[in-house]
Amino acid sequence: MPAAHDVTNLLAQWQEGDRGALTALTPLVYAELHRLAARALARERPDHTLQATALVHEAFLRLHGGRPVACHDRLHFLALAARLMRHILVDHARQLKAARRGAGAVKLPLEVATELAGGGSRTDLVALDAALDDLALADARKARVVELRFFGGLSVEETAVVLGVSAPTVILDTRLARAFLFDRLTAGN
Amino acid sequence: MLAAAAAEDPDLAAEVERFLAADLHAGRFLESAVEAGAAAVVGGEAGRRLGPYRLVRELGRGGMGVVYLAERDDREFHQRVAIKLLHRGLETAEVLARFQTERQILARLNHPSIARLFDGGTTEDGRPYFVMELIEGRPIDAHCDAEGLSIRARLSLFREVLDAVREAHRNLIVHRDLKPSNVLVTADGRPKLLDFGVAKLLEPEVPGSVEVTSLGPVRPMTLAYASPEQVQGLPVTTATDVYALGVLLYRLLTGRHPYPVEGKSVQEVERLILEHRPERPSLAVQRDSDPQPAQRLARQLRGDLDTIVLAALAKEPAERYGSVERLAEDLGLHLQGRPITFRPTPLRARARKFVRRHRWGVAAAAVILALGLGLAGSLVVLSARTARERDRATQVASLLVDMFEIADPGERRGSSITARELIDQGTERVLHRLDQQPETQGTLLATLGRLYAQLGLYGRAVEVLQKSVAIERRRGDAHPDLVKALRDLGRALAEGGRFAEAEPVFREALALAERVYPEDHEEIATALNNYALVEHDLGRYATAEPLYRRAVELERRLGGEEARQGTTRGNWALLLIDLGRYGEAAAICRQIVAVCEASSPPDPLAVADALEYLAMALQGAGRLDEAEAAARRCLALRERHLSPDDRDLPRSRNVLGAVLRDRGALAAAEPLLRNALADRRRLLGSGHAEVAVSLEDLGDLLAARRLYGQAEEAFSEAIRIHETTFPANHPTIARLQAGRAAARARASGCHDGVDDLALALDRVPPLDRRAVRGRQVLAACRQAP
Repeated sequence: MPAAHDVTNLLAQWQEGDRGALTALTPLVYAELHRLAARALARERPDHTLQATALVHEAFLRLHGGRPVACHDRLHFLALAARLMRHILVDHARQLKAARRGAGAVKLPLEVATELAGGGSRTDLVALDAALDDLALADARKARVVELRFFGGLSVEETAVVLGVSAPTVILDTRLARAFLFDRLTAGN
Repeated sequence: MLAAAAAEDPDLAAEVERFLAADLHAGRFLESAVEAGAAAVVGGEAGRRLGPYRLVRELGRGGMGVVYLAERDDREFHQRVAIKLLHRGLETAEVLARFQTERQILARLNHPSIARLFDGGTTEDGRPYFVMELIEGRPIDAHCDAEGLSIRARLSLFREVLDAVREAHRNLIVHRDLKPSNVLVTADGRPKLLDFGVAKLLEPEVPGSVEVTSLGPVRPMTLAYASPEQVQGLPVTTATDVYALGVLLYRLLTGRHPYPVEGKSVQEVERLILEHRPERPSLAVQRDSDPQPAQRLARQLRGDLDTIVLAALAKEPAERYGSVERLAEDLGLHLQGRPITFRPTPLRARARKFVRRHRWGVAAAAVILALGLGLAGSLVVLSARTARERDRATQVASLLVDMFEIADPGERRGSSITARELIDQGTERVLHRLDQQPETQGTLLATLGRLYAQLGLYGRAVEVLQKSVAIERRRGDAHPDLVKALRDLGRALAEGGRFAEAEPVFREALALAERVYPEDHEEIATALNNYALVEHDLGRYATAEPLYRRAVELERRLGGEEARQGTTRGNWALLLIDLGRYGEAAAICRQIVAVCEASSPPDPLAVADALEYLAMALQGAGRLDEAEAAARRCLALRERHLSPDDRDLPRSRNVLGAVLRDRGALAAAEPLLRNALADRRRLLGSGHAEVAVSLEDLGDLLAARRLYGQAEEAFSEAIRIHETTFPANHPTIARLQAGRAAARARASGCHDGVDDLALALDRVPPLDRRAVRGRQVLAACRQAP
């Protein structure tokens, strides 16, 4: 287990644009994710869906040393972690796609996409990442809400504290952002 | 907000409608997208293809990689395998080296109770993977409980596990993570050892073997089964596995862990491992609620089994059984109702402490230490000629091996002492300083001799083993140690190509084995096979044949391991081919192929070996359609499962080339034969016996093309190679001489070579293909005016 301050420092360095910090962080996050997933799989029935965001959340808490930390520090840490998680998941999806064959997001008709959204098996993270970037150009806060809540596993209240807005604002932002992203990822543009 | 963003859009209405629909339909799509992404990172690669395999589902995961169930589906096989794939993002040099080491370890281990390595490769995105035998079974403790196995049955099963671990140790591999989930029992009740992921190689020869003790947050062991030395971060030896086996045996006999580890923190468990003396198994079982069966169980465990289990669990490695073999022997003695041999040895404990203080200087000191201990031990213990004395000597010998193993590559790299030098020094000291303790000396010399042979230093191995045999001989004329010493000596001689000297050794070993062992004992089958093999190599086919026949007969009665039976039968089939009895050989080979194909899990390389022999037999019999089919299957299997530089590939191409040549397809045959010859020269060296095999087949092809001069040259070179190891009157040499003489006779229109041909034919088995053809040439020449 790496020391907590190492992880926090690495996250801060990465945030400041240090690629080396990312190289050092990624294996730590992977190892922790794998460990948690293995435990979750051992505990649950094998057909149980992996609660990935919960895992992500817990992984970062563990990386932080599992000790109670001041609320502000913890949220700061998780906010950085959310960005790192987005980076790692998207990067992974990108590699998988590149490995499968040529890149390029596939646009799906709305009906199919709706079905998929319900089944939840296959949304293109690479395309989602691009759409999030588009959203950030139009409205940076909404993109940040998505990152914190969905990639970082933060609650509405926690997201509100991090962004310095009210909880209802976070809920509304989430809904609008989701509609924007969903629209982007289905047939229209 | 969205409306504002779209304010200038002329199709505002349509836009809003779309967003409303999106809002309505979006559901949990963000959650599921992220979860799918996370699941993909932590595993979810089912459905992915790796080479010819398709990943079906995850079986388990460790610190380095995920193990998947995978399927291979092609015309040849429908095969289910396990594939271990490195985690994404862990491709550091250290982890890659560790992964590579595990692959090398598996590649070296060939044992029915160890999962086999089939194949390996790298994914398109650069992650290594390897393909292993798929083991479907239950953890050994769950299996024993579910089947309600008796103590006796559990011990028998456990001894099979010991046999597998011993095979690993013999290959200088320490498993380091033995626990129930790594010892599965298959549906047919056979245990299988898995997961050499944290195993350690103790040998300096393996290139790129890197000792990795820590992988970020992942510890290379499972704490509940970890030994005191692992907890303390001290050097790991074979004694570490002995300890973990002790924990496993404790569980199997009592249903409990030796320490109360449930619900304890890491620190507490570590303290228990270091300080807590485990309760005797016979006492532990009496804690069960139901007193009556508990009492009965306690009676079975009290005494020997208590002693054996606690001896394996000793805190100090040196106080444990010196080797897995010794543990297995004591369990065997207990099962036979005979007294066990283990006694606590304070001397060994002292040695261990010395080693610990000098942890980094062990390598150079190991031999000196072991031998110093041998001396001290001999003074104290070897004064009386008892069974116990013998026991002590064996312990000294295994300690010596342990000492070599402590001196592992990681620690030794600093100094320049090689394994060879260590053994040289050890031998010197054993020879000069243990004259007065012949039994210790004999055991130590046998160990040293085997070590030399393992290093390929056959000459030195023979010298040392001869001394060991001489010492064992002085101890009495018929005892198992003498049989084993002779067997070791014979093998070292034969592997060094000294067949004539090996022959009397194996003959004596057989005669002794028949006196020492009961009638149906596998040692006798081994002795028969070894003796037959050396007679075969010496060209004394008439002596070898009945010996093989007896060995095969005995192995059939003994039943058991198919691989072993395949070996003896394969040797026999090769002899029948040499005798020209191709039909019989083909029938035996068909049986071996069938057995190998039916074996579960499938072993494509064993099938390929059997097919090669079959192709040779069928070719000899002139059944060329069948021969070609067998040869092609053999080549296809080997091409798929071996690396392009494997020495078995030219063998396959050569056989196929020879079959095609006999069919008259000379243009197709020639490149195959020439490539096989070139590859063999490159891989094995120009003086190797397999090069001679290639030259002979090429010679026949050249003769068929009427290039008699070149054919003669090929035969001559093959003869020169065989003459370096075979006696001058060997049938193989005669066969080549006949080939050369026939070529010369045909080239010269029967002016030349006819007498040589007649002379050579006298020494070739009459049914041999070349003998038959040679006689035709001879007859034609003699009829000619």
